[in-house]
Amino acid sequence: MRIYLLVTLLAGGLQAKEFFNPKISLSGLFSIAQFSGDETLNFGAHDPKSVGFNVQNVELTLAHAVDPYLLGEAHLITLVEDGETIFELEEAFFQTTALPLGLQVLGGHYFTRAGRFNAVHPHAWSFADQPIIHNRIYGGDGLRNPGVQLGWLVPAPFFWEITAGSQQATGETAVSFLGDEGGAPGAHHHGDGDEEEHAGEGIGGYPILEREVEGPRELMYHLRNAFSFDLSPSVTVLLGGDYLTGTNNKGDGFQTHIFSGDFFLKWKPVKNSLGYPFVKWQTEALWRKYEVLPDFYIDDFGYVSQVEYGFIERWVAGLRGEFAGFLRGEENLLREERARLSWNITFYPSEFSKIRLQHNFDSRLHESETLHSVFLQMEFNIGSHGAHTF
Amino acid sequence: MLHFSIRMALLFVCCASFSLGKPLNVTATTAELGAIVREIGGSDVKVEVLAPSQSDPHFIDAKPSLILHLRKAHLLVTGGAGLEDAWLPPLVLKSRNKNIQKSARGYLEAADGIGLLEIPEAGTDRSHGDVHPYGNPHFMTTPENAKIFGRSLVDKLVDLSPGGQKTFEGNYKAYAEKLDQIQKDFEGSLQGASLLGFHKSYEYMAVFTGADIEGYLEPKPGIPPSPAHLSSLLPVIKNKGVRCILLQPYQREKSAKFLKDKTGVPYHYLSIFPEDGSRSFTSFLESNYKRLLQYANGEKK
Repeated sequence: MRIYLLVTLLAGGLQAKEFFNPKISLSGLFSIAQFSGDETLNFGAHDPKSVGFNVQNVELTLAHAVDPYLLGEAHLITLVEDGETIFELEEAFFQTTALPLGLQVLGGHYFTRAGRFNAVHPHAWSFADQPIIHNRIYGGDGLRNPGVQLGWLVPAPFFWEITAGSQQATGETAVSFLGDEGGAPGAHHHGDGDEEEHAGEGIGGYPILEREVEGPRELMYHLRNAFSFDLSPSVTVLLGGDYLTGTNNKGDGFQTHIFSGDFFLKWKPVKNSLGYPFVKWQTEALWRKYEVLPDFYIDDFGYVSQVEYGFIERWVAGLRGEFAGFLRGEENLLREERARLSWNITFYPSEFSKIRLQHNFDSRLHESETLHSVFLQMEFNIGSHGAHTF
Repeated sequence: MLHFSIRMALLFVCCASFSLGKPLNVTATTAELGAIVREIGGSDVKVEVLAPSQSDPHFIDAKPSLILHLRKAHLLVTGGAGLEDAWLPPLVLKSRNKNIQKSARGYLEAADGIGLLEIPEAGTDRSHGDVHPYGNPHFMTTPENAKIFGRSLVDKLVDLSPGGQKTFEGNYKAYAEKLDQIQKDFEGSLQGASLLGFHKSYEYMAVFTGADIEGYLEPKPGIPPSPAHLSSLLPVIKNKGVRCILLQPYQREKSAKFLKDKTGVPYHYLSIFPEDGSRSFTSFLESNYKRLLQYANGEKK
């Protein structure tokens, strides 16, 4: 009788654990890097930046149902930069599960869902490093801030989603707005107190004047329109466009406008083995108009286009081409005409680990020499991570 | 007074709209689940299937177009036991359909009420491969499990569409009778026969027919066959007298062909359910068992 009682209690206890404990997972992303020049041209916070061993991203994810109305999740990240461990809140937000009329609210601290690159976490990147144009316009940590967004699944016979949101636009995760600028190389700091030193100069060489949020006018606003079609049972296409606007730190009421367009195509035969073979082609173009003097804008623009070919089970080959340029304003390492070509090959021993070899060819307009970067990247995952979006 | 009557009449009409001839929108994740819903639901249900039957149900892409199948559903039928965990949850979330969220009335998991095989013991982790964490989810292959699920489905359909009760119960009776016949004809019909599988897709069929699955072409779940592992199967095929290898259409035949070339053991694809509803679940299950017997007894090449 006692054994029966014990088993019942144990069984009840195990179920209780699953009821209360969130899904927990951890991913570790590391790399070895080597560059042909003295400097690296990788300015992303989670890029392999140091010659030798790098900790790119260690991410702890917790997610669970909050109640019948909401899901909650949080992503806490750490990385090591120059021997210093940095902790950051990557994302923490709630989502509604079933509002009427096809609506959904997402709120908290989150990556702005603009384009298809910004919101992807480093361990899920198709390449070891952040695209140049995203680094320039969204910053080395990506565009992520507290705010709220409303999404609407339009009742159409094809997938059509419109999203509108607003987020706080201060800090180093809002470089195109009121935040710390990406004005000079190495300007991306993880709160080491150096902001005052660099406070003078911002994007394009224009001085930083304004940083206060006094009301709704100083927030960032975002609108996204996305469609998806199945061209066949094995080919899916996704098209999206974004508009972001907000005040920047060059003067009172000075505006930044960002336009983004993205195109995604995936081919995967209906009969596939472990999800292979497949081809993914993703292209995104951005244009930023940044007001630096009354009605005078400096422009930054660029694109990234990448193809991934999963040619046999567990192996993926990738090729990426990028370009970034600018009009008006000061030119420096973070703001010059650049083109980059990258290829990589990734092996997935299972769905929960990967090894990737990547080679970047970096070409800068004023340099005759091409900079080479080679990375060997490794990722592991433990725990129950939610399914990735398409 | 008149206003009140009109309002009550409208309310009644809205609530009874399902039983007034409007079919229930049911979305099923796999083709066999869809086939069962069609057989029991009859003309009172309109069924859509998310995963193409030629695709591996573990690796379906959460394409935005699938959201359209979920948006208008009154009932979502899933296999459960973790089978769809890699792709279904983001689709259900994006559908914003409150009827089909996990805690809602319009959500039915077939695994509930089924006695699952291979529930992982304490201490099982991913070093064993991509093990199904709740047990083997490929259970809709035996008449007994199909009956258990059929019964849960009837109860759920009656709950959502009370006016169709007579239809659902009547269809279920015919469905259960056909399953009983399959049980009589095929239970224990392959006692002691040795087979090889690719993935653990046929365990329930093996227990039902008495066959023994001696090994798998996958070294561990989710890991593709390696030359070393395939070589290790050669003595198994010989010593156990393996009669044939069973494959799903999306599994590479190269590895099975290697074993056939070395040992002569044939490999066969067990048929998969068409997702368009052109065959009933029971007739297809019966023909699948017939083919299994023919393959195992060497009657079909």
